[in-house]
Parts: sequence; structure tokens; C-alpha cells
Amino acid sequence: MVDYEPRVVAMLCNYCAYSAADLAGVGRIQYPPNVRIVYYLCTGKVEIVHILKAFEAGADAIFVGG
Amino acid sequence: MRALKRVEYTKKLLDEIGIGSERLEFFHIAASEAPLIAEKAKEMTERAQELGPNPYRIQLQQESEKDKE
Amino acid sequence: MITADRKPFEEIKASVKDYDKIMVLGCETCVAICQAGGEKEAEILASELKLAFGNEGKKVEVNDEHVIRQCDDEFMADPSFLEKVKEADIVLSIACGVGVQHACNFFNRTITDKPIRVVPGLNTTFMGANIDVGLWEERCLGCGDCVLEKTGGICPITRCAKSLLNGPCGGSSNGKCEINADTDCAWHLIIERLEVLGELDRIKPVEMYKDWRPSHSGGPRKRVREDLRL
Repeated sequence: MVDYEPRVVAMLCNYCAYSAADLAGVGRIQYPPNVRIVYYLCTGKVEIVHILKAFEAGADAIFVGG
Repeated sequence: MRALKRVEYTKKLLDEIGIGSERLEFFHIAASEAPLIAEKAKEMTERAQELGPNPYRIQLQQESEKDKE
Repeated sequence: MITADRKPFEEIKASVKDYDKIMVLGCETCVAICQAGGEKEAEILASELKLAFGNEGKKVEVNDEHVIRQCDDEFMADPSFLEKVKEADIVLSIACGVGVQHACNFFNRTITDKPIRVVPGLNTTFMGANIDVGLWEERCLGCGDCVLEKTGGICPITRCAKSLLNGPCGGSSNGKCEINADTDCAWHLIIERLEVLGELDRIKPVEMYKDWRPSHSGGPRKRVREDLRL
């Protein structure tokens, strides 16, 4: 596939990684636009099936940040 | 940590179903570590680039192309 | 409750690989509590199968459903549910062995225009208790002749590897069983318990051989309550 643009899903916790991503925005730290953020109140709520469904929906890589 | 254990378990499942555990990762990122999350986002995007598309996504695309025809 | 483990994914995949429309059927009672075959596990397994077959370029339709109990007619009698069962090529039941058999029997009794295939997704293990989060231990063998009143509430039939009625045996050391160091000696526990209760005298009489006829050794068992029968 020539026009392959990876889709990365980030599952982030409100209190740590999401705030970090927010801060990255405020601080104008560049990160790839391929990342789609899913916001969790706590990454303890990340269910196995959420991850699998994301792959079903066509995600190429997923990271959980907490 | 609950999320970490769950991610580790899911990595096993991903290997079983042929997606590959390397497509999933867990990172500890504190609220103040803005450069770290940018770095990890970059790292995962690069990794996805190297691994190529998720094999299931290729199927999805082929199907949608078929539908267009 | 009845506990179970999920079969290896490869085995499950092989058993449903020839069918295009698969229904993963969870059971919300025992196996849901031991996190092997409930609604959540049905969703996960359905998603796994979709991804695994999809990766190989095979398009399958996998749906997940769940009922309160697969070992009881009334929880599966919903006509719209039965319609979905009928549409599926195969039902992958993640209930215990009882649920798999009963669901199969029930579907084939109520749906008469086509045979319904039901295959298991779990290995049923034992009747046990939830000792701690994520930990289950066997507690009852269903021998049909309970001795717990004599043994301080600790079952020697189940928890002693030899099912001894007069114990402990010579393999008991420091409260552990000789089969492995993780297994408590049931008779060690019984004696400690009886000591606390002040009923050590209970183990003085020699227990005669057990009548195993009420157990499975007497063949498959049946229970009838005439007053409840219609």
C-alpha cells in the first residue's frame, strides 16, 4: 500500500497522560497527527474489548497511557 | 496496576489472533511529561509505519472497494 | 459455583472454521462470575474470532449474545433470541458443560426446521469458591452424602487428594499435602478446626467405608421433586 498512513489510537487517563497531551498542546510540542486520542477518566477502565474493537475498526497501533 | 495487567493480557490475545502484540503498548506518563507523550506518540506511529497496516484493515479496505464497484 | 477455563484459542478457531455465521453465546451465571464465559468474555471472543478470520482473508459474521442461564429453558425461550439462534450456522457456547448440553438440547427441541450445532468454548473444571480476587479453589465433589458435620466444615472428600475419611495420611507434612507444597492437607485443617471447636473427640471413632452409590459412581443422577412436577 503506497498511501499508507498509520492510524494510532491513544487511550489516555484524564489525570496523567491526557494532561500531558494537553500540556504538549499548550507547550507547542509537536507530535504526529496520526494519533487519535480516546479519553478515559482512568485507564483502569480500559477494557480488553475496547482494544480489540479499535483494531476491528482499523487501528494499526494502540497505546495506553497512564 | 490494573490497566498494565490488562494490556499485558490483551497482548497475549493479539498474538493468538495474528494481529501481533507489538501493536499494543502501555506507557507510564505523568501529567507533567508533555515531551514524553509526544515522544511515545512518535514512537508508536513509527512502529505502525514499520509494521504496515493492521491485516484486518486491509480486509476492510478491500471490502469497501468491492462495495464501490 | 461451577468454574471453567477458556479453551485455547486455536482449538476454538478450529471448531468453528467451517462456518460463516457464528453466534458466541455467553452465560451470565457461574462462568460469568469466574470470568470465563459471561457477556464480557463473549464480546471478547467474538471480536477475537472476527479479527483472526479477517486476518486470513475469510469473511465471517460473528455475533455475541448472552442469557442468564443456559441450564434452564425459561431463560432461552425468548422468540427473538431463538430467531437469532436459527440464523446462525453454529453456536459457540461459553457456558459450562451443563449449559452447552442443555442449550443444544433446548434449541433442537424448540427449533424443528433445522438442526442447530452447538460447540463448547470452555473446559469446565470444578465446583469451587472464589477464595480471593482472581483465585478459585475446588470445594465440593458432589458425592451425594455430605460429611461436613463430622469434619468441622472442611471436606476431606474434595480437599484430601486421597479422599480419606480417616486422616491424615503419612504424606502430610507441616500442614501441606505431599502432592505439592501449595496444597493444604485437608486433615491438618480439619484437626486444627476441631481443636478450636473443642470437638477433637469427633475423629476418634473410625469412619467406615463410604457409600459411593449416591455419587457419580452410581451412574448419572436424577433429582425429582414430585410436588413441583406439573
